[in-house]
Amino acid sequence: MSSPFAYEAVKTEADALRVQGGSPSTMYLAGGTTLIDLWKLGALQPLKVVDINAIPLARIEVSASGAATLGAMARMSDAAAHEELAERFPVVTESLLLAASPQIRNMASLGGNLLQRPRSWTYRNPDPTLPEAPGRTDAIFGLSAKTQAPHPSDFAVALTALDASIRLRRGAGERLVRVSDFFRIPGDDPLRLTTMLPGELITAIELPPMLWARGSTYVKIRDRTSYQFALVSVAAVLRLEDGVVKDARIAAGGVGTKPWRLPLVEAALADQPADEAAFAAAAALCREGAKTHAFNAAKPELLERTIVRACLVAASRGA
Amino acid sequence: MSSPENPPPEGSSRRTFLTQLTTLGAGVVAAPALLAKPAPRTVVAERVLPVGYVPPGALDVTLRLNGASRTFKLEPRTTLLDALRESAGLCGTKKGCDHGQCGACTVHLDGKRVLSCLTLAIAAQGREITTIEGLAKGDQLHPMQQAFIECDGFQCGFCTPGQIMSATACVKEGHAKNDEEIREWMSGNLCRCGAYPGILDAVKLGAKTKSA
Amino acid sequence: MSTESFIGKPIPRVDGRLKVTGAALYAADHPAVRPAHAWLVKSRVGRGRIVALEVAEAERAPGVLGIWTHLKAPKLFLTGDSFEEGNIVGEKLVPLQNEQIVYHGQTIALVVAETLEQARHAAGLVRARCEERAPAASWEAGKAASYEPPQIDSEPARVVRTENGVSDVKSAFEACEVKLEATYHTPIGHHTTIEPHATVAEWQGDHLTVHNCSQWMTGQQRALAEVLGIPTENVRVICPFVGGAFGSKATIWMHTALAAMAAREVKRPVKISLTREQTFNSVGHRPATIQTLQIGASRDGRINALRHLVASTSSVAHEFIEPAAHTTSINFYDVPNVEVAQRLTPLNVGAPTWMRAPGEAPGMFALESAMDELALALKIDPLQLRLINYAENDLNRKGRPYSSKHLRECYERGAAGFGWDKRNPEPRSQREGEWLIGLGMASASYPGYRLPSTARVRILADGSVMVSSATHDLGTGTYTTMCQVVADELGVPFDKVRAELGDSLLPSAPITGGSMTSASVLPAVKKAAGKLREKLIELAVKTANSPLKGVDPDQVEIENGVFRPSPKPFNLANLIQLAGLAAVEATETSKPGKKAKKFSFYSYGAQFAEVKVHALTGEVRVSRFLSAIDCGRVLNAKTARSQVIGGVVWGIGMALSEESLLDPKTGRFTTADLGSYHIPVNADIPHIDVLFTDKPDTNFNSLGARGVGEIGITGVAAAIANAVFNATGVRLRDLPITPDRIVLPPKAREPLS
Repeated sequence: MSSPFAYEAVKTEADALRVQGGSPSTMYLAGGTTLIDLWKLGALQPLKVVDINAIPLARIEVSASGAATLGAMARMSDAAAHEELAERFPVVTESLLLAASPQIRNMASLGGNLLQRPRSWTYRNPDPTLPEAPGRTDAIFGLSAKTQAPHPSDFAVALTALDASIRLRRGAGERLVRVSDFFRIPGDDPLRLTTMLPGELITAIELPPMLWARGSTYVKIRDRTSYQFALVSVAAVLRLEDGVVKDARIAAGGVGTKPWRLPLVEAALADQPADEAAFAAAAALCREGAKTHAFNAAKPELLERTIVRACLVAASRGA
Repeated sequence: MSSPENPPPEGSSRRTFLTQLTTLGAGVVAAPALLAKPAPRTVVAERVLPVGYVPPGALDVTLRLNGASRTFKLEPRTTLLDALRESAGLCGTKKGCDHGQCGACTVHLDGKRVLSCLTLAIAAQGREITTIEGLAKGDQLHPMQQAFIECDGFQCGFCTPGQIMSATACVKEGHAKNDEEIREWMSGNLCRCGAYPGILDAVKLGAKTKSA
Repeated sequence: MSTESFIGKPIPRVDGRLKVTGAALYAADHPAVRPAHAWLVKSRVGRGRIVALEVAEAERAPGVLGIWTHLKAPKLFLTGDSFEEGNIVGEKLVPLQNEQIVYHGQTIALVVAETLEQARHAAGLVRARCEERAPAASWEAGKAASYEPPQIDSEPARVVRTENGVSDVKSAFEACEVKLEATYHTPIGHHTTIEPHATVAEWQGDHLTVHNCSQWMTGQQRALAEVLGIPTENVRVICPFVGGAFGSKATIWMHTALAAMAAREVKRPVKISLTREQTFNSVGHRPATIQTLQIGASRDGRINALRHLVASTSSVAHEFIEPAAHTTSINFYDVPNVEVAQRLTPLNVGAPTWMRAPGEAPGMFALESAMDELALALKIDPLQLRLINYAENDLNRKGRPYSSKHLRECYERGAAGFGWDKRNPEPRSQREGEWLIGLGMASASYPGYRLPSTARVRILADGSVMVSSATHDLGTGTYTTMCQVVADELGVPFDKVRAELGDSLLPSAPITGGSMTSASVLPAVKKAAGKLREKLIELAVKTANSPLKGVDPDQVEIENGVFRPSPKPFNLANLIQLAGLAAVEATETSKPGKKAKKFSFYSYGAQFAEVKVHALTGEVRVSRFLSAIDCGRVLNAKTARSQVIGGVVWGIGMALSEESLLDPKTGRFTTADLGSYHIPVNADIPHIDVLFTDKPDTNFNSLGARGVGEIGITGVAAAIANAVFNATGVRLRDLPITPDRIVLPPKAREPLS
């Protein structure tokens, strides 16, 4: 594939929206780390790309309340290097630093990060109807007959734990969508990974004021030490009082076809002591609803252990 | 040298480099003849190839390459990597995977390390592009290049330009404070020969040496 | 002789400057004039038949110069099949000659266009309709067609060696006091050279020049000529630099022939560079293996019986044997009753090929893991067990002595340097915070190969020296070691010598594989340099007006480029100018001598690994490694050390992360990119200590060097697996050892029988 396309660079949101015009074959170009990759494979076939890199949407602001606004065009590396963000939301910073490579983090925008595609055959060849093969990286939650590929974003897992929102603009209108509503289980329509509407542009990511997010971490398990998608990852945010967990947010990567929140585990952590035994007892509930096959049978076990590990780190920070 | 070089007149290739490389006349391979010690001045920057063909939809694309503006006729879909290699004659930047998974094509865009395989040439207009050919000052190697030689930070040499571009950026970013940090921040550049320990040593040595 | 010796010194690479400046020209960098760009169209079906191939839309695409399919392609020919002749191809499947498809990723069309973008685009427009059949793409699916090959190198597929009175090895094993049986699995592996295979093909009349990724000049030249049906002398192959090879660039692959074919058709140079995905399916891989080990010993640790049974995958298109037992258990230990056997399981995949230590790498993983398991069963230190069963002679060659075996020294020095005595044999006994620490060791072994080789050394009137041979520097340091040998042997300053290689017009050299380049080419270089020295001295004592005229040549030496003794300063350049010559040269061939039949030649080593394993989540990180290597004389301490380190890094990848997986339904490699086939990254690699015994093997060749390209990887995966067991108490017999396998170990495999 890799057909020719037209190219237009824009400087404002309004121009971007106008030029894109809701056409499925006109695609935004930010960092290019997804679009150019998939275009070469024939999996994306734009007739036109709209370069949005010049739009001033790269600001990162942390307010006095503790909320943060991350501009959609901020690069992963810029967000990762933001000191105040790292102090208030270690889970976000870690999810960014453990992702991809320094070069890719210099290129990829935060908005684009959320729109990257899973790494399976469904998404990486010109014909999305060709069958996937079962593998050890397959998801265990949110499966469909069409795809078992886990969502690849680390950052999105951190956002899911934090209950962040995505700011979307379309025409003159704007809406704020909770991240849990932003991603969708692909089901029978695997190419629709989000609930974004045609023509919408991500302008920012809003992190809620959450002072206790200092007690958070992102733990990523993979074969090699760096530059690999998660086999399993866990974002954990714990609020402790006198050694007791008062509030817990747990989300996981590498296990769901969208970033996967684990409410049963969260509920089981609440009002329990912040120690390994209690973490292990709560983490065991992560297996609820998990579906495995011969190749990924170890994922629930690995997920459970990763939750314990992440909780131990988060607790040490939250104490 | 800011003249439009693409397309040049048919058959007017500036292949002077070939005569410089060939020391023993016909029948003797050219490139290894450069292996004099000390090596002669590299002449790669002079390499300009005639394409003589303008694809439909090509536009004038002006790139700031190693400090010089050059204009090429390129389609919007041409990546910076392919523009460097196939049009600008700058073959030092390597294509290892073409999908952002190896780091061999690393160049600097406005001083930051990026992957040229996932960058459109047309989108790189107006930005300072530095490739491996732009690192040395004349015959004077950049300290990082010298460090890679001294520490044997390569074997086959194919990933080396990307490693060195990444290494100089790594130091500049302040990510070369200790071994563990260097290893992590150099992990976006795969080396199949397994020269990683030498690369680590080279980054440490290069970081210590003040840039010439 | 020169006063200063360069051999052995840690001299930086002479090609270093070219490589760090981006000036080294690899195949795809060759500056052809107005090249056309070629792109392969690959089958998306794993087995079947092309029913229809639609190319009309692709032909109309901008810039397209031609499309070749099985309906429209010039005839290409299958070559002979002789390693000695060099006329072998990587895959015995000539493309575009018929409609049959035997693997996913097989070439079904070639598109040539003005630009790379246009070729890639048009290739995507070619539509194939196929009649599909179920491919054999798993052990299970291939089982019915599995077979015992007639021969494995020069041995039968089943080799049985018993002492007097023993009827069969199985019974001997059953009778032993302590028995160990275990079955291991190694997955398919890929070379993943960072340089994808590339060719620039140019015709001048009926003469073809290819700039091609190569590690075998003469082999590629002959095979390519045969595939194209033209005389060998009409083909020139050039490859001064290659971006990683490891076996995958030895033979030619068919994209090279297709590029040459297309260049003839479009009457322009044609350039082709495989995509990363294509390098996973049509330029070779390492087969998967299942290996069952049965080792029986007495309680004192003496092994009495050893069976090593192997099944390995192959290709329906091309038989390839990964000889895991025939290269290891057959003679590594001093065992009276030995049986090795191997069967092949052909799959619908592209051809496998040699990959760094083919046979030894998976074989030593299984054997040396089993030895660790046996040591545990015997409650004997693993290193001690190896010393108890140390082989002093080659029992597979009727007890022929090893030429120069210093494995004992590797074990001892390695153990001392590593701190092996601090290892606690009790698993899970050492912990640092969240991490369990473990130590493991294994042996390394690789044969010394050598083939005839020719080199030329030429000195010009300015005193500069050029040494030439059609060999390769794969990153191994050949450019540099060639210069070192010439400087020493001829007696000239090191910086006066330059090397050229990688051109089939140069004097012939063997395949740069099997760790044999130093052992084969450098003796020829030494001989040619020595001959040139004689010629120059001869010339010096005969040339009119020479200060040495009439002197006894036996009394003259060349040191640092100057004749000594001499009544007045007189150097080599002075002589050549005085004699009115442009150059003086000598070309010599060197080949294995009579001693080759008296001794058995092997390199050896001992690998020591320290790992940390996360107590909860099972990530394995190698925290320390030591490799003690006996590879004969070390010619360049810097490049040899790098070679061993590279081998260890490969072993770490093999142990912990590398695995190519096939979709059993379609036969597609599902891990066909560098994001899912995980070669080690910088952060995976700890400090690696390398020790050399540095004992010249002068029975082997005049330099005493055995080569060091492959020994480094052997045993590494076992040392790591053994260390993981020591850390965790979990014995993993399936590679790679990934976190999911640590937290939930796979079920034991059925043993082979």
